[in-house]
Amino acid sequence: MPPPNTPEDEIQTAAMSYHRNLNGRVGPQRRRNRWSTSTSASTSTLLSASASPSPFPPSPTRCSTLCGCIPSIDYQSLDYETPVDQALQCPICHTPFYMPLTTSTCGHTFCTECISRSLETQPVCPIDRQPVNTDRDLYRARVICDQLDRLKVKCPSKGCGLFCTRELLPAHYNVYCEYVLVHCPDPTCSRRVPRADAHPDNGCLHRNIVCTYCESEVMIAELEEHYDTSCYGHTAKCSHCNAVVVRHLMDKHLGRDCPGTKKYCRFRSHGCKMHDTRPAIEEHERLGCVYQAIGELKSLRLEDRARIEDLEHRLDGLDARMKRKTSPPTRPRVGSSSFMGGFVPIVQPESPRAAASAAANSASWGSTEDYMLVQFERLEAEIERAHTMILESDSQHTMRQINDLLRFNEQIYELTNRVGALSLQIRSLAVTTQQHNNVQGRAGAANGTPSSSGISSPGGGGAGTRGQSHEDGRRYHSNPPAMSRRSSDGRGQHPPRL
Amino acid sequence: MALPKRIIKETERLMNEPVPGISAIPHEENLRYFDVEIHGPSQSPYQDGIFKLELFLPDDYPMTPPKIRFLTKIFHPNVDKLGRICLDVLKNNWSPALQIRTILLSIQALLGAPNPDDPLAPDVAKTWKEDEQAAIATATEWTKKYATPTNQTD
Repeated sequence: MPPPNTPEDEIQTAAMSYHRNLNGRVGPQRRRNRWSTSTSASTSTLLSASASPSPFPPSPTRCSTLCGCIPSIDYQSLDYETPVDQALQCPICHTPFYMPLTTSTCGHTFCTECISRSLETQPVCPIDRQPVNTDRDLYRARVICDQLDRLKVKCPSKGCGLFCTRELLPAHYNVYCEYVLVHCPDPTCSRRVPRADAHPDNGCLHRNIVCTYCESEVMIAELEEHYDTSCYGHTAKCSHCNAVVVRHLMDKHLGRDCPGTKKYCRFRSHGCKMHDTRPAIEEHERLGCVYQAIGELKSLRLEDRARIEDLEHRLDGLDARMKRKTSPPTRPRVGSSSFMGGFVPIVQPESPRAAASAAANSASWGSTEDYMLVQFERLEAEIERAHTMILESDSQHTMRQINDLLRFNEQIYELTNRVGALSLQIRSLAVTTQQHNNVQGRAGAANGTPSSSGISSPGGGGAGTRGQSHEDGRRYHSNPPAMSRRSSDGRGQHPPRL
Repeated sequence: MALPKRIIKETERLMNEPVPGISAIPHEENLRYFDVEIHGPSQSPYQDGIFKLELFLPDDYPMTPPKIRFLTKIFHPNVDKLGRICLDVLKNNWSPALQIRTILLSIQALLGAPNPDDPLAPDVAKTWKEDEQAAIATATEWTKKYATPTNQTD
């Protein structure tokens, strides 16, 4: 234990007074006194209180009784369960307030440490530069403290991971947390151990002992780690099969040998759904899993497919090479006008040079006979094509002829119709002329026979009527209505049909 | 020395919500040292210019102001030949409630509103007071010459 009235003691006193004030049992007058108690350098007291913060009084804990010291909580680096509202964060350190103080002049709030350090350089509010007196113008806003107390924080000791309200954190951390590193139970040892191990009965944990299992030298604090990683002597019981296994080989045992653990059939990838203990699976595999055959077939099929693909690939290559060899660079397209040109390449292989090159490529051709055979086949195909083309053009020609003929037929039919119409007109004209002639005849003979005036024989009408009509032009003019009516009648009866 | 939470938070915010026209990127090997680029404000002779600055956060930041210096040559009455800036908030008027982003915004504002009555470069301030048109022309020319991305020199 440090002697009384050490700087550390002073810090704790300051923090204690702050927390006593937090409880709200102190009036404003008392609050003011709080700062003035620490003589002239009140700011420096505040500062030192927060510079090496040990904000809570030493509790009668295992660690405190053992070694009188635990690492303090660094409130600025705490992790909060949920993001903290901006309004609860100090504008200077940008973390949730720790021991907040509010200015009575402008109402801005800061952590005690932050505002103290700021006021040290300039006695004004860091936000609006209003003058602030360290002794008079700072007070603790209860509502802010209450909100801060309710925030959920993570215990800062490594490995703990507990979330609790900020209010309860000091109690947990200072008294209960098993993971907090405290001084070694041996006062002469300067190292630290987790609180769970720091019992006076344990003595110093930082000395070497001989491992009872493997007889190697190990530090007591590292014994568990030694068992788990390197000790070949320390064994443990497997939870599945109750077998005794070296501790650090337990994983291997579970993965490879343990008869209690369940595993899948080897042919799971082929569809076997068997999932049982190791011996059962081994028996199942020994008897022959049905999916084994399927798997083999599958792999065979895959092999075959690969082979087929390979062969196809090679065949394509050969085809392409053959085409290159057979077709001359300026091979004429076999078309309607020049399909005869298709015969040209046949002659080429006959030439000694082509034959020689063909022989040189015996790997692809086998022999000249093969080559000729190929050529023959090609020729046959071309002849076939030419034949189809001839047939095609023949049929086209016929179609064209038929089309022409149809057109002529139509024209002839039309002309016939017109001739018929004309002849009918002529006939009607002839009838009219004859009637006129008859009327004239009756007028000429005083007592002529009127009965014969209506009808004349159509046969004799022809040339005679035309001459008479010219002679009687005046009469037509003298009697135009009768003429017009008749002619129109005649037209009405035989309209020209074109 | 571990980096204070405040600096980590400020850096994160500068990365995640950058201020328009301002970028500040910390050095990997020293997280207290920042490479800063400020775009010249529009309607000013520094328009279209990109000015490089260096920013360093001293050990007792935020109790002391960050140290900032122009790396790009600039014709401004409040910036001297070495790039040092005459700005009250960087000196006496610093407050720990100010941040990197607010300071950089103040510098950008200073570019938009030069103050020849409180000069750091007396010759520049003199030109600015006697013939403002000529001073603005020079500032524009320097911006074009030194702060244009294509041929920017330090």
